[in-house]
Amino acid sequence: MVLSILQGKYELNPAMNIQIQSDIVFDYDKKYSIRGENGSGKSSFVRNILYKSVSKNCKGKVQYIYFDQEILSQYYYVKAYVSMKEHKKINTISAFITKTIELHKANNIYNSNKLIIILDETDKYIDTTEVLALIADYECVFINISHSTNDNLKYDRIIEINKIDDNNATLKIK
Amino acid sequence: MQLSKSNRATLKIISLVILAIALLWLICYKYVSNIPFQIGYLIVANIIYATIFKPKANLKLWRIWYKKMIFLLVVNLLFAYLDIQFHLYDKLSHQIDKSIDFYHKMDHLEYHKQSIARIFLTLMNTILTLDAIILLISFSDLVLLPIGIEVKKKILFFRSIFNFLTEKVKLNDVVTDTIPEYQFHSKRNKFLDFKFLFKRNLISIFTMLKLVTEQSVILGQLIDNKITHSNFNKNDDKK
Repeated sequence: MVLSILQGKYELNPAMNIQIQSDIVFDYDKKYSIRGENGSGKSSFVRNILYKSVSKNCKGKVQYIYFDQEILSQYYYVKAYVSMKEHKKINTISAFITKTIELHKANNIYNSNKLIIILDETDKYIDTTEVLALIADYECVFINISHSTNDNLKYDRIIEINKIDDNNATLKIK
Repeated sequence: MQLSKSNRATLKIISLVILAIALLWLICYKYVSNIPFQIGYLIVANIIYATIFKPKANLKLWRIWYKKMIFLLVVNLLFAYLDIQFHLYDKLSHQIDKSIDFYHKMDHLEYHKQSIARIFLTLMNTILTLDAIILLISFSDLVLLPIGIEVKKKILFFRSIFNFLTEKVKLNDVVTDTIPEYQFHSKRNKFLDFKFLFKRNLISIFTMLKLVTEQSVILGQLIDNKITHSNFNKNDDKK
């Protein structure tokens, strides 16, 4: 077990809560898909609960990569970093995703092949199988939010988020 | 007599601009050296800001500015250590002679302590006042202003950019953690390694500039398209 989120009620944002019905356990070498309707709170769950848990429990121990749904800030940040450090240009978001993964591979200071990767709808910019090919060397916790259900990937767990009303959502694991 | 929507918006904006000028005159000129007034203003302004825009918005504003304030404090403490006087501020408040007398009579450290308090309070009061006034002017108020479209579109553009910067741009851990080097850097070293801090902040500035310029192009085109589109519709209606 790398990471777990205990069952209970969590705040997604000031206007919305989520009820996690059973403990969620994330393991290496497993693929997780987070699914739900538009506005059900998938991205808020990843940003405000999952990412915070990863950052709190894994910083300084395990490498992690998180591509937010609002990817532009991250894109320009890495773009500025690469142009300063390597004097190279990144012109597309797909190139930025590839470069970020390569940077993590090159800066593997823990000498470990463990990685946690969270993708929030990056399939708009890059094929998810391409990302998987880039991280093939790693023992990975792979978490993906995607609207397309036919992405030909075999997931080990499906995490489903359903909106009950304007202020509440539930999370179930299949 | 009932005012039209356009007149009401104009009146609201003129009143707010006059209010802003009056408050800034008090904070930055009349009572610039009056520390009790500045402290009182800061407390009252914070209460009003939190009441109108909710305490979370107030906290957010402080969260944005506290690092800059700490930086300012460090620079000013350095000035105090090197014993550099703030003549410019004294000139602004027409107290240069008094200030020099004051400086010679009192303990140097006390002089710098008062200067630092004055700079910090004046700056924070100005930010709070301007932020509140800008937020009180809504998009619909601007659209209803009886001015030419050329000027109006520029005002709308700057208001949109202000919104984008305050609401959308978040250079938080999610962004900095994207770079492995910054993710691995332990918190303990972060505060000691100035080279690391300088580079990371420089990248943040570049990111911010790029985001703003990119967004400016998109927003500018969007506003132009909307104006063209509504003009076409008006012409169609006339036909």
